Amino acid sequence: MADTTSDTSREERGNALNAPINASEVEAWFVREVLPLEAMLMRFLHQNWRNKADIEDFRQEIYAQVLTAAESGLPERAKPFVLTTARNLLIDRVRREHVVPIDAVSDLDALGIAIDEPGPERSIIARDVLRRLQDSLDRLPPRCREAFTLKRLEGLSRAEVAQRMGISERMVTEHMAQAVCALADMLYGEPLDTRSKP
Amino acid sequence: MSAALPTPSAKDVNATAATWLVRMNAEGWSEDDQNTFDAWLVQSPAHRAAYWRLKAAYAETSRLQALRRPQQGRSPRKSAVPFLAATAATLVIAGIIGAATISFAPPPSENYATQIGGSKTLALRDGSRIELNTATSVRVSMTKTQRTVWLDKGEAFFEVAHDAQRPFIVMVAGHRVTDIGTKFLIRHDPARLEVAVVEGKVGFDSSDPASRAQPLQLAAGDVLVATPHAITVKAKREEDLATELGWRRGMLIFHHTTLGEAASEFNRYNGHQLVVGDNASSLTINGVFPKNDVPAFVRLTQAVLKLHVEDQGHQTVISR
Repeated sequence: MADTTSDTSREERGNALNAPINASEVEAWFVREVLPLEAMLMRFLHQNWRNKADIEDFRQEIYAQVLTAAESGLPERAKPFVLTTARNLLIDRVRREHVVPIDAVSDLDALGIAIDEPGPERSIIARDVLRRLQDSLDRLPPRCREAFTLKRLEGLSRAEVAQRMGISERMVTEHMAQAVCALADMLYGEPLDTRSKP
Repeated sequence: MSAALPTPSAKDVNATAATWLVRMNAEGWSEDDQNTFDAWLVQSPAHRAAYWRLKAAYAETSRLQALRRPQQGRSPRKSAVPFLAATAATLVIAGIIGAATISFAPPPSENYATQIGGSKTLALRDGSRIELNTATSVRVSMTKTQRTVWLDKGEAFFEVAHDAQRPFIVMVAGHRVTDIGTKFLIRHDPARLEVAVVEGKVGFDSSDPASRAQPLQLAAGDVLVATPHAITVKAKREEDLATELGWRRGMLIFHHTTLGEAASEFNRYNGHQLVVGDNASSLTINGVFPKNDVPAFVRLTQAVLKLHVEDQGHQTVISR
């Protein structure tokens, strides 16, 4: 895919390397730079899209596009890159669906400002991690929390957890999987101010 | 950017990614599973995004393991808040799980401990050996699927009989050290944890809230040091590792060691404590000493370094 890439366009991107970036580098970048932006991204999507049922799919699509781009060269600054991807996706959806929601993509000017601001997200993310984690654990459905606590925090084996909870090992896996999904949504997707109310 | 192809719903992809993650962190993960998973992962960037995101969240939760044993070696700077938080978490979780499991009761385990100056070798049923150094206590739990040792304090040398079906895990200060067929040493002081790998490989999964570290893999010669502030890994030469392991032969080996450090090494093994004055503690010494022979050490420092020695009964003060 890089055959048509001229030297100038490479220069324009400024940061693209000739060789594809290896997967663990992309993963590390994604975890370090992109995930901390998720709360902001979700806020942006919620503000600009009415059908809440679409939002999780949007997030996935945005991440997929961001990774695809990052795999051929890590963007220098993650925040403008993620937000631009998000905005383009929304515009694309508006066009494709021939719907014109009145305020679907109304916040573009404000977004322009947000893109250049070095938001506080990055510095806040490491703070109160324990409290946030605990709070998230607290809000899991009880059976999920129990399975997760026994397996992950107590270090019991899956068979032991199953025995203790009186369920099959397969159900333990299901509870655990559900717990991990919910924890990720809470840790990354929720605005910081609602995460850890004392 | 081109319009995206229709992709499976985010919910489905997430659920699949989560199931992979949970399964690979449990028993019974096979090479076939790994291959199927690898194929799934390269299939689509949406798969990678979902999996990496959940994996990162899952790694974050290792910090909560530290709450299990809040009384153990956290720094004073941090301990105040997490301790309260930990108490709250314990109560909350105990409340929910109810009477079936009493709070964080660990699985049945056997306790072993040594006094100051003591040492003990445990021969485990699976063929593994654990050598306990001075003032050390461990709990050992052997089940069909897992071998777990909690190093509650002190220092121990592990020689693990490899068993792919039954991982050998050492829980120490909330961190998780996983054996991958090997010999290794763990020293757990109140504010410092050291893992030294003598042979084979060891996995280290940190629970330190100060780090965002992914699980690490340590190879022979690697020495990991975790303090409340940082986790560092460096490679040590074989002879330096041998020095650290001198206690296994009953000897303390000093090599450009300061008198202060040497004294605190002796103090780990002996009730009779050595106190080194500030003016003398930075002098460096070399030598090999029986770990229980404080008088020999004192005589030598006196003779060679021309220091002033005062025996106060329960302790000996060395100064210039």
